[in-house]
Amino acid sequence: MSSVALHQLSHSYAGSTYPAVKDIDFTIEKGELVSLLGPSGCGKTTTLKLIAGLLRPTSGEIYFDADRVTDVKPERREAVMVFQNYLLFPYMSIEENVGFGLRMRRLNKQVIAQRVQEMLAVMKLEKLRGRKPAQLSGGQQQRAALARALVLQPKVLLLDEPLSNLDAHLRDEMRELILSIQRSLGVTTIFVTHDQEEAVLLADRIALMFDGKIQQVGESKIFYERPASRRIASFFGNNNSISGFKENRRVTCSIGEFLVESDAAAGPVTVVIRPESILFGDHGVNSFNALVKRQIYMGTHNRYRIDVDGAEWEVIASADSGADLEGKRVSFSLPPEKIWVIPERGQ
Amino acid sequence: MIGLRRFPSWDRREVKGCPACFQVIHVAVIVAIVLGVLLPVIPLLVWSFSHSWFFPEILPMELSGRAWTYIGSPLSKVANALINSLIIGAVVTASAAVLGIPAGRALGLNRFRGKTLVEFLILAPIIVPGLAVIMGIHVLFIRLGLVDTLFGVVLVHLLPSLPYMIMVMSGVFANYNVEFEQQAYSLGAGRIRTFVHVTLPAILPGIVTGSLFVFLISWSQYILTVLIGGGRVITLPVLLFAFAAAGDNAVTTALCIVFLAPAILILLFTSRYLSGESGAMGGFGRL
Repeated sequence: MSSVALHQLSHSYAGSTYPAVKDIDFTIEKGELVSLLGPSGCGKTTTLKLIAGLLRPTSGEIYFDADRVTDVKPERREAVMVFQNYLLFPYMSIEENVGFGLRMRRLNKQVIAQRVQEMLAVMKLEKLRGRKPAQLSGGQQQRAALARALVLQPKVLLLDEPLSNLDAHLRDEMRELILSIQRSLGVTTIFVTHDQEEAVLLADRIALMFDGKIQQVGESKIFYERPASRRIASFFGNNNSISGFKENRRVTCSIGEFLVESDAAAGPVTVVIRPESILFGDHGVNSFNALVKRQIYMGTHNRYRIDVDGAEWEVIASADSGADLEGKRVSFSLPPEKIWVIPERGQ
Repeated sequence: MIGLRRFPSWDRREVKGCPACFQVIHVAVIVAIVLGVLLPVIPLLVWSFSHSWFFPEILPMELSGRAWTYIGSPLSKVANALINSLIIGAVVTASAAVLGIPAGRALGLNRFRGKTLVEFLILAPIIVPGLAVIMGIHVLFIRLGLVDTLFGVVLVHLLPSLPYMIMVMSGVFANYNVEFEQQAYSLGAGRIRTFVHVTLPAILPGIVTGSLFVFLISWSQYILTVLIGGGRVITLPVLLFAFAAAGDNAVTTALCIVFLAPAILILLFTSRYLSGESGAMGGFGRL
């Protein structure tokens, strides 16, 4: 177990003018389970490979605890990466695959056999030990790949899209397995995903990346309640945002003037509100009219698509009323304490 | 090469109508192929044991083991030539592998400016006949002191054979996933152990295929050996041509059989690597 610190970490691929990863400053605590989240091509897998030592940073430093490991070769780094495609060696049995890293460390044969045996038991792979990877299902292959990494008792475990190749029901199972193993071993774990739901369900903390940079770091809650930009809000599924201009406690925008409780500085801002925070009806403050384009019955609640000055917002409300509002103009209110105001950075 | 092992590639179970007829055709085709390969060897065998055999006779008038006794004796230098051929073939094959694996890897895995030109230049020795350039090479080798040496012959044998190794290996690496190596590093394997335990098993079928090409090309090389070896480096083909020119048919045919044997043996030993079941030529495949 060790903490991982990235200092001003940058990487450019040969022949590319754009850095894949730029000036990453990020510390992962001992035993933490952190997700690197972002759309494809945002540099998250590159960051993982930099930590694993499979890529050399163009600039910047990597520390495991107090040790600088920037120049340490991957095979000596004690950070083990599990690739998205599992990459089990096809001509080795599952047992041989799991024992591969221990053999490379030239451990005593009996020690290897014992540790492999224990790991196979933990991963429920004992009956498949003699099989070749091609004879295993995707979930079994994923467990074997995890076993192969964990049997080495790494200080840092790096998982690249650990759930993306699995069926939905296997995904839940595997998520629980990763979580329980990570908790019991306490191994510092960094996993890469493009799926914000996966990150929210699994990670202690999320580092959100766009364009090779970390945009926001924190527990999953803040990405919903206090996103740092309109793009982050949108990545987490909230497109209820509108540009405006803030003065004192007021934001003026194209659909009216809203009272807010934000302390953000005066100037151009983006206003964001969560779908379940929008109230039906005129509650005396921050009310506006909008056309309901679509009403979707979701069982426990209704989901409405409303037209807000050309943009489509989403409103979630209880399904109790039962009234059909589709095609009607309705008034809505935004509670001032629920409005999140993001200052526009001068661009 | 492909048809060697598991003829036919279409599946009998899928053929409707007359499975028995199909079975017959299947066997017939295999028999035809085997006969096609073996039949020419039969007259060679007969001739090698003949003492006198002239035109109207269908079989030799007299049989004798003279030719075989002769080529088995130190006098004929066949043993020497055989050893020379084997040494040259082995060194050429090993050199081609050492040069061809990295070259094939570079070509198979990377895209770079001028790649087509590089590929063309690598293929050039196959397209341009050796005779066209051998005179120039001869002059160059005289200056470098490489003529009449085993080393010079090895070098000149690499000329027509190396392109095959590079072509085969670049095909293998085009279908190779480098991340397997990264995975091995990450699991604690150094470069050499990664090559031995991860890369080599993946590309081995390709190496076998390429080596087969290279060895057989070197094995059957005559003109290049004679010109660069200058009569000092005697290989089996050089001896074969000498006996053929001397008109001793019995010895020539016996030598032909000696010449054929290694090729057939190598094919038998390596045929499982040439099979469609071993995943073409290896390389793991990219997922």
